[in-house]
Formats: sequence, C-alpha cells, structure tokens
Amino acid sequence: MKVLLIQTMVLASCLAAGCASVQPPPAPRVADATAQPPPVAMPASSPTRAARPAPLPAAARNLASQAERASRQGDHEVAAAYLERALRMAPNHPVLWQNLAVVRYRQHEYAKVEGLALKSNSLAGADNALRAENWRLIAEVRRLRGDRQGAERAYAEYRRLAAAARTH
Amino acid sequence: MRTRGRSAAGRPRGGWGRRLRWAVLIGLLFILPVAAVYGFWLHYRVTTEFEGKRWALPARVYARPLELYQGMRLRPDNLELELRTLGYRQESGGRQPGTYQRNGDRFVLTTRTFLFPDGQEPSRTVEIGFSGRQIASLRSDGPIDLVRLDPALIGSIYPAHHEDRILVKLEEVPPLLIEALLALEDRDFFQHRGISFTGVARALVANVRAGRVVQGGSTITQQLVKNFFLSSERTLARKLNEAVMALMLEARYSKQEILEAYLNEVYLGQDGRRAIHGFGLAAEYYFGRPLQELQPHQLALLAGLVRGPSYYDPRRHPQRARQRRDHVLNVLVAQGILDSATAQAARQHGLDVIPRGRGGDNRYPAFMELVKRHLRRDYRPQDLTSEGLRIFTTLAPSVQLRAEEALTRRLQQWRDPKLEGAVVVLNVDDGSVLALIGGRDPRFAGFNRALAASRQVGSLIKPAVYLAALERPSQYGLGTLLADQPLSLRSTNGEVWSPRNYDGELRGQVPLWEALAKSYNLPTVRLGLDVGMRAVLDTMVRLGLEAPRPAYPSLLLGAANYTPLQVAQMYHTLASGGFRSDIRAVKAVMTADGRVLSRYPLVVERAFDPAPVYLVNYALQAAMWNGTGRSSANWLGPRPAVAGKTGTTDDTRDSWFAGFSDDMLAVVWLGRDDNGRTGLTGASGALAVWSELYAATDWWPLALTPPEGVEPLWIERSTGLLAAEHCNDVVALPYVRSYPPSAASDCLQERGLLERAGQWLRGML
Repeated sequence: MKVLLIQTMVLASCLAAGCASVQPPPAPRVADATAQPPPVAMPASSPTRAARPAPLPAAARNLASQAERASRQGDHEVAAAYLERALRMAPNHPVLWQNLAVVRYRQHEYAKVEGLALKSNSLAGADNALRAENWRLIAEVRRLRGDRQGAERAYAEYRRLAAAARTH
Repeated sequence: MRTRGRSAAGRPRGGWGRRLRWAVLIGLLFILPVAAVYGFWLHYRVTTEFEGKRWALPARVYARPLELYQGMRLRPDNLELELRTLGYRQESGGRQPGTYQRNGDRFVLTTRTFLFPDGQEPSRTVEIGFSGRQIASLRSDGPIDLVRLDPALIGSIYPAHHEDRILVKLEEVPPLLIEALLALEDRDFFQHRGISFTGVARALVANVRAGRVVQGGSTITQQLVKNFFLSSERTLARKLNEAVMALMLEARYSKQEILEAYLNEVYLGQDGRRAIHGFGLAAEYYFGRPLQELQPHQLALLAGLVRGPSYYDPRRHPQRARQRRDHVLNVLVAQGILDSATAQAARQHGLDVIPRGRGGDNRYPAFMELVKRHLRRDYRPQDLTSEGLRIFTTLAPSVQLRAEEALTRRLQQWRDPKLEGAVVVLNVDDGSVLALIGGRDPRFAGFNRALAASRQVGSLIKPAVYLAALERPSQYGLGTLLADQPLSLRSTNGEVWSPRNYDGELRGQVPLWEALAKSYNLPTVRLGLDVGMRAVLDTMVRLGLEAPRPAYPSLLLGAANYTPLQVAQMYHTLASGGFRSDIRAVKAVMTADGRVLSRYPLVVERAFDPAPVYLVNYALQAAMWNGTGRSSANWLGPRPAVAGKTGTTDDTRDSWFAGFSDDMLAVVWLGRDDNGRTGLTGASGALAVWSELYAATDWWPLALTPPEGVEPLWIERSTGLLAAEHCNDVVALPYVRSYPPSAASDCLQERGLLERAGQWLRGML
C-alpha cells in the first residue's frame, strides 16, 4: 500500500505532471563573486562563458514526456532509454535524474534508485520539494532492501525538506 | 531372395537373356542405393547450405547516433565530419536519404531510416542553421526540436573463416542491379530449371567468336551452388554435382529465393583476411554507402565485378575496372535496360570508390577491442559471429577523428619514432567512451596501450591525496597552509626516501589549493602522511582505482601503475561530482530482427560527498588557470573553463594529462614502450595533445556549481585565517560553511575592536 502511495505521489509530482513542465534548475546558491580577486576567482561566476543552458532544451523535454508515456505503458526500458538521451542534452537537470530514479523504482530495480536520486539531489540546489521527493524515494528503497535505520534517516530528511518546501 | 527366385522362375527362360537380366538387376541393386544415397547427400548439402547454416552473420557494430537539437554545441565542420563518416554524399538539394548540401553554415540533409533499440527513426529532410558553434535552428516542414541520424557502421565481429556480409532483401536491391546481373550472367534465369542449354550454346558461340573465354555458361543457380562450396577445381564430376544440385535447388525453391540467396552469397572481393560476400557488404566496402543509395555507374561496377573480383578490383586495377564498368553500361543499353543518355552520364563518373579501410572494418581497432571485451562478459563468441547481432556502442566518430588528428599532429612535431601515445575520451554524464586510441598509428590493431599499458601515473594521483584531506573539513580547507620543506622518510629496511619538488625550490608554506594546482611534491607528501596512507588508499578505491598492495609513501607522488582507461575512471568520478559510473562502450545489443537482447544502462553510485569533490575540482581548475596546466591557454585562450592535472614521471618516462570540461573528459598518455626517456613533461607533452583535441571539439564549459553548504570565504593568504574583503592579501575561496578556518586574522579582530568602539560611541550619545 505504501509502495503504491509513494509511487503515485512521486509520479504525480514528477512524471505524470512534471515532465512536461520540468522546472529549470535553481540558480547556484553561492552569491555573485565577480568582485573577488585573482588568482582564483569563483569559477561558478566566471562571467565570460555561458554555462550549459538552464532551461531544458525542447528536445530533452519531449524525450522526457515520451519517457513518461512509455513508462505509463509499462515499457520502462524504453522510458529509461529516452531519459538517458534527454540527459545527454541536459545532464545537469535534476528532474531528469529523478525521473530516471522513478523509472528504476517502478521496475523494482531498487539498487539503482538511490544513486540516481542522490545525483538528482546534488543538482537540485534549493529546490526543497524535489529534494524531499528524492529522499522519500530513497527511504522507500532502503526499506524495501531491508535497511530500516537508513530508511528512517532518509524519512527524517524527507520530512525536514518537505516542511521547508511548504514554508516557502 | 526366395520369393524373387520363385517369381523369376515363372518367366520364360533363356540363356544369355536371362543372365543379362540378372546382371542388370544385380547391378541396379547396387547402383540404385548408391545413387539414392548420393542424391540424398547432395540434396542434404544443398538444402542445409541454403537454409540452415547458410549465412553465419557477423555482429554489426554501430557508433553512437548523432542527435541534433536546437542549442546543441557543434561546429559546422564537425557536423560535416560526422556526415562523411556516415557516407553521406554531398549533392545539391540534399533530398535523397544519405545526402546533404552545405552552404556555409547552413545544411540541408536527409537522414536514412533506421531501427534503434528504442524505436524506428524515419527518414527526414532537415535544414540546419548554425550560430557560431551552436545549432540555432532545425526545420523540417516547420521547426522541429530533434533529429537523430543513423549511426555509423564502425565494424563487424566475423567468425574464423572471415566471411563477412550484410544481408539484403530482394525488394531492397535496386532493380537496375538485378537486371544488369541477369543480362550479364544468365539471360534465361526466369525460364530455365537450373541449367540452361541455350546459355551454354550462347557462351560457346561467343567464346569461339572471341577466341577466348568471354562468357560462362553457368546459370545463376549454378553459380550460387558453386559459391556455397567454394572451390575452384574444374573437374567433370564437380560440374556434374553442380548441375544436379542446381536442378535440386530449382525444384525446391522459388526463383526469388534463389536470386536473393545469390545476391547475398556471391563473392565480391578480399579485404586482407576478410572475404567480402554479397552486394550489401560490397556497397559498403567499395562505396561506403548502403546498396539502396548507389547510382547507375556504381551498380554497373558491382555487377561487372562478379566475373572476377580480383581481376577487376577497382582499387588495384582502376583502368580495367573502368573498362569493365563501361562495358556493362553498353550491355545495359544494348539490352534496352538503360537509356543511352543515362548511360552516357554514368560513363562520365569516376569509379567513386572510397580508399580501402575507410568504410572498412578496422577503422577503430582500439575501441573495437574494448567493445569485444565488454561483450565477452555476456555473449559467447559464436553468438557474436553468427547471429547478425546489432551492437550499439558509444563511439563519437568526430571526437575520435579529432583525437587522432591531435595525437598524430603532435607526434609528427616531436619527431621521435619510438614515442607512443594513448587517448581515452569519456562523456562525463554517463561514463560512456567517446573515443579511444591505443598507439601512435590509430589504424593499427596492435598493442592497445589505452587498455593494456600500465604505467606510472606520477602527479595524476595527487587529487586522491587532497580529496582524502578535504573530506575532513574540520581539519583542512583550500586555504590551509602546508609546509613546503624538505623531509626524509626511512623505510623499515633502512632505505631513505627524500622527495623533492619538481623545480627543486622550497617555499616555506603554501596554501593547499596552490600546492595541488602547482603540483608541489613536498606539501603533498606531508598532507598524505598527515591524513594517513589508509585514508588515501580508501579514497583511491572509491575513485575507482585498485589500491596497490603494499602501499609505500612514494604512492603519494604516484609511484603506482595504471592504464589510461583506469586513470579515466578515476577522473570520471571527480568530473561527475563524486558519483561513480562504470565506463561503458556498449549501450545495447539487438537481434537481427530488432529484438533487444541486452541494455547496459546508466548506473550512478555516490562515492563521495559533493563538497570535497567540488573543492578538489576547484583547485584543478586553478591548475589550468595559473598552475601546471596553464599552457593550455595557447589553444583555448586564457582561463579556459576546464579542470585538469598533469603527470610526469622520473626522467620524463611518462607524460600524462587528465582533464575535463562540463561534459567531456580526456586522458592522454605519451611514453615509450621500452620505458625510455621522452624529454616531455605532462605539460609539454600530453597537455599539448589534450589542448589540441579540446580546441577541435565541441564541449560545454565547466561550470562548477558549489554544492549545498559550500560558500566563498575571504581567506588571508599568508596565514590561511578567516579574513574579510577589506583586509590585505586576501583571496576568496570556497569553504564548507560549517567549517570555516578555526581562527580569524588580526585584521578581523581589529575591525571587531573598531565596531565595539563604534557601539560605545553610540552609547555615549
């Protein structure tokens, strides 16, 4: 029952609704550091070069929605292949990584979920809602794999971030 | 026998007649079974050959497909390079599948339809506009956001007898080729039953008239049989067998089936040990394109080759091949198959064959070896060589070719024929291998140094030492001062090790980030001994390296041997922010009929907290800006958005560089197989190759994003203490927020006094 709940919630938040409206990744959290002196300016703010574009390329967004459709039809391998192609175009996009984690979860490939969810979190910046979802996913796969203490810690993270997301 | 005797007894008796009849009967009793067994055996051979093991199909190996989308980083020249490796032909309009037209930075191209593991990609005509080194627009009857090209065929895994072929279906074969073959080889094909007496007669007349053999009398069916049991002996018995088997084939199979088999079986050339069978492969071998895309002059050449693939070999005997081709065109006109205007136009064309080995099999031998190594885990050799599997790999042809150019060009400049090199290029996001070079001649399938040359890595190991330290933020930050002073270590057996800095200088104290960026040895050894060998080894293992046992302190300066591929694995974990992935060369395997057998999916595992990895990468970027990697500016401009590390071993035996942008990681090694001196440091050797590669390829700049909990702090350079912007001699360095330097500089304390003084003043008012 809980599995089902998680599945519907995570998917509702990301695959079913979110893939078509994937949020651009949050801005880097460290403040502008252009004023900083050499020899090592803050690389994050190196203003002379465009970083990879924050908004998702349309091609990657379409691949993500195709992935969602395939996953809904139970064709998870094809869904994963679409998401990998999307990631090739927008590898720093936390939602795509999370979608891939969800697809693996739906396939019961639990061992693959945590790494993908953590990767998503490492790119999610201050997006507490997304980070909360990832921790919930991690908690669930840890529980399913028999790691009860790890699951508890992940749930605690989830509750903390979900609360933070609500107050925003 | 008794019954037979009795019935014979009822017949009229006669001396000779009876004896003769007996003799015939007994003769038949022996001959008939022998003939039956013989016939059955012929039938068995010809049908099993036709149906069963007929074609052991080699596995086809494909490069990654190029996906074009708006905003993609790609310069027009690299798109054209990809198109050329795909055998796309430049043709005005670019409206035929497999053709393109380029006008400056605008392309029109038409893709080929292709069956991928995730679905069929239809053929589409696309207009591509560039803005600098990015795709600005993509149109195909209106804007589209994505087009996937067909993947380049980069090789095949064929069996021990070296027969290679690409199967074609009869309906895929251009009608002109079939008509030409029938006109040349067997005009009565659709009338005869396997052997043709009119054909023999016609050949005889023609041969007598010409005074030599100009036509063979064999039907296509007979030629097919002959090809099945390849042997050139010309005995009567053999001719008889052929004829019998031809009759049997015709009795059992339709004309269409026989023709299709013939088109796939016929021998059309020799590529070293690889035998070229069938028109599907011949089209790729001679023209680098699928059979369906060939033009009349090319089809005529192929049809003419049947008579003597080596005699008319268009690469070895272009003159002869051209005469043969033009003769075929004449026959086609004479037979009313081709109109004379088309034939005239065809005669104007050159032979159009690609250089040997270009569309060929062993273009990327180092990468192919990696592919085979991956596949061996899951597939038996006989499956790979016989089932016609389709292997989808990760090779990016344009990156591979640019890497080959970079290595070759630099090696030419250094003029040391014994200098060898290896290059590994990875995609950062999923650990897939984009390019691999195993030696100074990238076409030579010899010792694959990228996979097999285990060499001392020198300073390339240092990031592991610093990472082990920065994982303890309460003790180390980027501004922490390290002692740059001499030290000597005595091992248990009494040997003394006294490392020195590369330049022999001593600087007293240096900040941690600078010690890594400038690759100072003494601070690194001290740091490693402080955190402990065990921590460093643990870090190495988590980075993806095998830890050497036993481990000596000299390991801290890279006294350990690794292959370029292993080094790539280590740096990949850094480049991807502390997430480890298996290096992949194969993404999926599909059966000949389109069923996916296996996928090798993207798996990531978190090996490190993002914060310490970010701090190490920050210092590796500093290495490129003003450390050991700064000469890359000669190719990439000042302060390139990349990070990396040089490595040089004693006496310049090995020259290494490992570096990455946001999406691409490359490791370059240079050295000699006899482990002799090269005279090249990491910076003067491998870095030059690396920089040249990066100058010629399209990648996203490294945008190091500080992870959660990392923020810039002002650090007093000379003390490593917390300071503020207004203080003297300060730098901004990223720090883990909860672990700032444990003490503040005097400058801050003075300000604190002033602030308190200010409050006191306010209090007075």
